[in-house]
Amino acid sequence: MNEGLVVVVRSIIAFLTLLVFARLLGKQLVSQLTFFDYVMGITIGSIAATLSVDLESRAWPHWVGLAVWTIAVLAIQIASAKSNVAAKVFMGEPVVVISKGKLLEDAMGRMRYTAGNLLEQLRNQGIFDISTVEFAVMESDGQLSVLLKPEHRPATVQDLALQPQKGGMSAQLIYDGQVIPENLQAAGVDDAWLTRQLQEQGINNAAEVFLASYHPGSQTLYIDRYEDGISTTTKHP
Amino acid sequence: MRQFWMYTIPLLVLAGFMLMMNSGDILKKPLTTQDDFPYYLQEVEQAVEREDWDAAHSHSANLSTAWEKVSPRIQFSVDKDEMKAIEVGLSRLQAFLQSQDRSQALATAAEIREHWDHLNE
Repeated sequence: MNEGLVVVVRSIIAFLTLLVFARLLGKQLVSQLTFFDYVMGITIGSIAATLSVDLESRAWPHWVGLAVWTIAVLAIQIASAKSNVAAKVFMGEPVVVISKGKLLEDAMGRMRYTAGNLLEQLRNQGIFDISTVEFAVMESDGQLSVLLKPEHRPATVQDLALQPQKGGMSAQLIYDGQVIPENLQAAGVDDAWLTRQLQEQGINNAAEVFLASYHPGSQTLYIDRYEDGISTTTKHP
Repeated sequence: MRQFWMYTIPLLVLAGFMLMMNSGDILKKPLTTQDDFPYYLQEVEQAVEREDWDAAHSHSANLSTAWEKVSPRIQFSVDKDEMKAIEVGLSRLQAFLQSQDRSQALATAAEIREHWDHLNE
């Protein structure tokens, strides 16, 4: 048995299978995973690793294990999407830990969640004074959602009676020295306009630009040249 | 059309993998007369039973050659332990044929057959 060759072939099988299964399971970000999703992910990854390098047993049983775990996770995702009860059972549900400014010790105790954990998560959100919090909810993925007391909430555009700027997405007009014509069209500008804007900043050729990004709402053009005038080498005294 | 291939290609890849991982039973079948492992094993057993040691040696050499031809193509679908056990069994069989030990040679041949039959399980 050529062990190296067998590991190469089995690794290709494990890698491509995992790629297909991961695409099947969806696009949840790691930060949105519940503890259950996290453990499922580790288990599936561990089975794939065994499939790749454990030559003591055939690849097939490992592959079947991988498929079964993936199907189980998929079934739970589908059930949770279709039924609120299933979602509560499998994913857990949000728990209020601060209500009307008061800590709910019983709810925190049931989750084995300490005041230290709560303060840490508040600090992560830039809240250093717990007395400013009106409601805090521990979400099923472990994130803390916080609603501040009205007097501590940031003022909104509406509060200040200002006229908000139009929103919209920025479009990359130049990337890596290349003008992107379809983005020019989507942003409602043309080549001549872009050339004028570049010339105003002393740029004669798009090839001098690393990134040019245009925001149609605010009509602002951000330009970054390759030549930054900043030395990247460190001088030792 | 693009959507069709987006689903068809991964499904074909997975089907190919499944076929490959279960191909041991098919690929261990002889493709030529030189890689007919069960046939040569049977010939060795019969020669040992007759105590025809020259014939047993000759068939044993053919058996080793057959194994060398079969093992590269089944290595991706069977487990390493069964392959190792067959290789060890072949070495032991050679030794028992050298010493003309009938009972040990027959026992080892039976052991090799057992491992061969369970290669893909």
